[in-house]
Amino acid sequence: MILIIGIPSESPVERLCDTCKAEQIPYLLLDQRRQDRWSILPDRWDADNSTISDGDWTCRLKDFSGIYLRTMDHRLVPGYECRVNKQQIDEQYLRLIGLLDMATAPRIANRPSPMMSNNSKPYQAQIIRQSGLDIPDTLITNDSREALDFISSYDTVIYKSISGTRSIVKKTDAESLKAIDRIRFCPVQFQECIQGTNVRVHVIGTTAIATGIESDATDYRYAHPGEKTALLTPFMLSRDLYTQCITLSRSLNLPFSGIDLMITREGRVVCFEVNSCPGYSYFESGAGQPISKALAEYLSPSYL
Amino acid sequence: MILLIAHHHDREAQRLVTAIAGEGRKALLLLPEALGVDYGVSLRINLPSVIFRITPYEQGEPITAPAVSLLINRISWSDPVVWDQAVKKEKEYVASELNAFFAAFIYAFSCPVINPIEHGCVYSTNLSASLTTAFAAKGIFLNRGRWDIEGEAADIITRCYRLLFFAGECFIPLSQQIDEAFHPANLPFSLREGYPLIELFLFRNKNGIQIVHFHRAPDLSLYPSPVLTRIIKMSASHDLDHRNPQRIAG
Repeated sequence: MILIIGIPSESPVERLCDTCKAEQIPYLLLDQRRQDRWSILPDRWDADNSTISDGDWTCRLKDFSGIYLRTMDHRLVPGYECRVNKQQIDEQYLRLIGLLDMATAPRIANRPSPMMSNNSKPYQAQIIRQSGLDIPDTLITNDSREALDFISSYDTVIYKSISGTRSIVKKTDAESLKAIDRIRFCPVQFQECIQGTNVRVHVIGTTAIATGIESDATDYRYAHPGEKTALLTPFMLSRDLYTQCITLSRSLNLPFSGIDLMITREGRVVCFEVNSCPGYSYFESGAGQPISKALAEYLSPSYL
Repeated sequence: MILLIAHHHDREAQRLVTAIAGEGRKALLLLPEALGVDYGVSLRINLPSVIFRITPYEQGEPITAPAVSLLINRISWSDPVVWDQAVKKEKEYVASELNAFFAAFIYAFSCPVINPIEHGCVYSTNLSASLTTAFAAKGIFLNRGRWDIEGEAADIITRCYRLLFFAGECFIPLSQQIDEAFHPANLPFSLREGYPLIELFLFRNKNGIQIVHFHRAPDLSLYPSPVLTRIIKMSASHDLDHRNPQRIAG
C-alpha cells in the first residue's frame, strides 16, 4: 500500500491518486486539509513501527511499501489559522518529518532532509558539478564591479534567486544595470545565458523520463498562452546522460527528482538544478508521459 | 589562516579568535550580518573550478581558498539586520537569499570544515536521521517538545548534563560534576560522522536519558583546553579535499 501525503486537489497528488486507482494499486491519503485530525505516534525504538492516523484510519509506517510526500507549508493550509490546536498540529508535523527521515521500511519520495538541497541553488550546483554534469558559468557576488566584469564577458547574462524562493529568471539589461550597486547588501546570482532546448528529466528510482520544452520565453514556466509559448514533447536521452541523471539524483538522496537541463545546438548539456519535489503534472499533461505511473510503480509493493 | 563564520551576537567566536591567535595562528572572523558593511564576497562556480574571494573593505588583502586551512562554522539562520527597515516581504526574501548563499559558500571550502553543510542548509533543527537512530538504538531519545528553550524548558536546560562531541571524542565541561550515568565512558555511542563539533544537553527522568537540546556553537571556554588544541590541529591537514577525501584539494 502507498501513503500519499498532501492536498488532494493539488495536481501532482491528484494525478498519483488517479493513477493508483487506474492501476489498482492500494493507497491511503493523508490529507493536509484534515491535518487537525492527524495523530502521529512515534515508536522510539523502531521508527517503522510508528503509527500514523488521519482520524478515520490508523496504520504503521511499515504497512506502507512507499510514501509520496508532497506537503505544502502546513501553516498556509486554509483553516489552520483559526484552529485552536495549532500547537498540536505543529507537533504532528515535527514528528512526521522526523519519522520520514528515519523510517527504513517504506521507499520514500522524498525524505524531508534531502529535499532541502534545492533551497540553495549554488550549493546544489557544486554537487551537480561533482557528479560530472556541466553547469552554467555562475557568479554570486555582492560586488558590483565583479558583477559587471562577469556580465561583460558574455553576450547575455541572466540573474535569478539563490534560494528556493521562486523568482522569474531575467536577463540583465540597461535598466537592471542601473541598480547594480544595490547588490551590496544582498548577493545576487548571475549566470551565462545558454540558448538551446530545455529538457526536464524526471528520475523515479532507476527510471528517467525526459521531456523537451520548446519555448521563446526566458523562463518557460512563465510562458503564457497568447504571449510566450511552451511546447512539451517526449525527449530521448543518450544512454550516458540517462545514467548521469540517475546518478545525480541518487547522490542527492532523491529517489524522485526533476532535473532541469538545457541542450545547446552544439550538443553541450548543461544542468541548471534538481527539483526535489517536482511538480511533474505539468510535464505529464503537456507531453503525455507516464510519470505518475512510474512513481506509483516505484512506491508500490510489487516494485523490484 | 583559520576562518570563523559566526553571528554578530556570538561572543564566544570573538574569544576563539583571540585564543587561536594566542596559539600563534592567524584567525579571521566573518559575520554574515556584516556582509556589505565590512566585506564583500564572491563565489564563482563553473565546470573546472569553484573559486571564492572575500574582500575586506577596510584593511587587508582579499582572501582566497589557499589561504584558509580550517573553517569553523558557527552559524545557524542569519537575520539580515541591515535590512531591518525594509518591508517584511523584502527582508524575508533577503534572509532566504543570504542563508542560501552562505550554505553554498561554506560548502565551497575544500579545507576541513567544522560543522559542514548538510542538504544545503546552514542551520538544522534536526539531528541527522542516522544519529537519531543511533541514539535511539542505545535507549537515548530526542525529546522534541523540550527544544523550545523558553520558560519551563529553560529551567530544564539549566539542570541538564552537557557533553561536547568533537572528532570522535567526548568532553565534559570543566565545572561539571561527573555523573556516572552520563559519563562519556559509560555512554554506549560515539559520534564520528558529519558533526565534528556538537554540544548535547542530556536530561534524565523516569523515562531514561533524553536529549533535550543540541547546538553547534558551544562556549568552548567551558571545556578543557585539549578541545581548542584539537581544533587547531585540524587545520594542519590541508592536502585533501575534505568534501571528497579521494580527491586532492583545488
